[in-house]
Amino acid sequence: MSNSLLAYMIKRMTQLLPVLLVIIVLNFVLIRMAPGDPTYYLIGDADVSDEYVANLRAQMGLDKPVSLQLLIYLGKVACGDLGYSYISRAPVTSIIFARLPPTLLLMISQMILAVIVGILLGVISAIRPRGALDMGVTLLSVVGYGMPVFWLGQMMILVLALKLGIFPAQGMLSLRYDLGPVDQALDLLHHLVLPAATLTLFNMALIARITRSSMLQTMRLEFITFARSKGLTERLVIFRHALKNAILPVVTIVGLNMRQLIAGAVLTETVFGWPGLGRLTYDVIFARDYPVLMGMFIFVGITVVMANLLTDLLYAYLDPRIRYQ
Amino acid sequence: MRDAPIKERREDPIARRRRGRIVRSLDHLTEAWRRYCRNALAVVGLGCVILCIAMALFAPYLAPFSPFALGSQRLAPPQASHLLGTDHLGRDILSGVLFGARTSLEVGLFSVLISVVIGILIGTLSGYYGGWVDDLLMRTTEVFQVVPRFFLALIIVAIFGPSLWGIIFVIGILSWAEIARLVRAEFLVLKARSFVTAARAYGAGNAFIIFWEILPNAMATVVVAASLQIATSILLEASLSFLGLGDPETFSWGKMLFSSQQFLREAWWTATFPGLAICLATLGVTLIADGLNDALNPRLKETG
Repeated sequence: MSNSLLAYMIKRMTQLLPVLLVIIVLNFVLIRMAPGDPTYYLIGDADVSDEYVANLRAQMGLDKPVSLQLLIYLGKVACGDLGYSYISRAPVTSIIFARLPPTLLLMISQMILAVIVGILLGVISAIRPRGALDMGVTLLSVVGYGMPVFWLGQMMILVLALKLGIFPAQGMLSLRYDLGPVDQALDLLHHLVLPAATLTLFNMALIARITRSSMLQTMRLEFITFARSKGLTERLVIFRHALKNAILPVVTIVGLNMRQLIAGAVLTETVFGWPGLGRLTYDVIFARDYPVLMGMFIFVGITVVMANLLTDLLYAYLDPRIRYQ
Repeated sequence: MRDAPIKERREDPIARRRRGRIVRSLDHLTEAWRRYCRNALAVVGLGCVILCIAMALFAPYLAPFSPFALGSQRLAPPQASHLLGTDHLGRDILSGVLFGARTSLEVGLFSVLISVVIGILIGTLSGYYGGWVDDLLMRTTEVFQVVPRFFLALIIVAIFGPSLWGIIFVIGILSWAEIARLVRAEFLVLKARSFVTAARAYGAGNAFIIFWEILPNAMATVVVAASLQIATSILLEASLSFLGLGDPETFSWGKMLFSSQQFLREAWWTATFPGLAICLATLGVTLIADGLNDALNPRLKETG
């Protein structure tokens, strides 16, 4: 790694880490500002002595000064302790990690699909601007921007699952235990199609749109004319020369939109009963299990900040000019 | 007595410039309107939004029932008495869709108003004054750009209880970062231009330069970003309502989709029509934003 890249990385880290701190402090403030005492959620309407409540408050650290409470909270978060669920009493961290794999599966598969198809569509529509396909992609991206992802999911269920019966409408696995490992994987894939397609349609539109405008700009540059005049085939010019340069904004859009991607995944999971973090969010809101909800906010915050950092680094690696700004 | 005519000729330069600005910006606006009307998609978008506004304004007159009125026919398919069918409590979907337009438009309009005011304020201070003010404000802006907005809105609404104005306020407070950045960028470019130097030369103060020289030139960008944000805000409110965090006292499209979730199998109409209504509103606003972008920044228009 070159020196300039390292310097840039340190600079971005010092800029982004405060964001993380703000998220955690914000979380702390919100817990304190929430109406009602935290002990209420543990005791409820049960008839208990004042002494018991005082004990509980001391146990939860609520009797200490607020500044000390904040420090203790920060220390706990740094150690990965996000508190305990009001409902199941399990550590929030383990609840989140238990629900992580389905969400990762969904997000990674949709991301791969969206990037490949989105870039392809973008390139093709940039080759023939104002052509039929270009119009289609433009329309798709406008519709994709405005359509609620959860409604798209509902419509997918209505048509492809309930009307045509091609795909299952809910869940991640069939409730059959007699399946072999291969059949199980196929079953999982079968369930994955609709939620992944919903999210893909949604993100693909954006990627196609960015690729298109970035390609159009790149294709006007001199080095493209030069590559053509060397006698290279158009395919080589487009994929080797133009796309390589046009892809930078796509990297940014995918990386910096992580918070939208996660929000989209949460809503999609809710629609499809996909047992990941999104479904957890939905259940937790209903159970008013605030520690889990806030733990997820921190978790998502960390993910988003990391994604931003990675994107910046990737960008600086791909385009050295960035480092010297 | 020879002094008087000379004094008359020497009109206050600031007042003169101010008057000239108003006249010229009116000319610009009519010109932009002409360009806007030439854009077919933009006109379609305007039509969608006017339709939504009409739905919201005339909901009490157009709706055949109260959106809350429970009927005897549950999950009835679209028919003469219920054009778009009924939901699981026998409520008329058409009435719900009409009254839902009010909520969505209120949320879109007012939350964006809040974020535009904050965004312009922060962006202006940051871009015009620079230095440590800029550093501090831009760090703050970055926090708002990175923080998972959807989750934060979710938590705040879940903890403090869902009320329409609470939701509007939360969305507004969490959405100004992009506008602040755009305004700042405009200020950085514009404050170095010669017309600002000229204004300073004839003695204009900071306030005059900010509000009468630079800000009007930055407004095109703000208007485009703000209209796009109306769509995002409407979607955010719908998403919150879809997760069960809508104001219980008002009717909204997101909430209709939330309650339709369990009845997809029996009643496709409960989900289809409210969703189409959301699309109508957001699509309209997005097309308007695109059209405004082309009309207000004609030089930026993409070729091809």
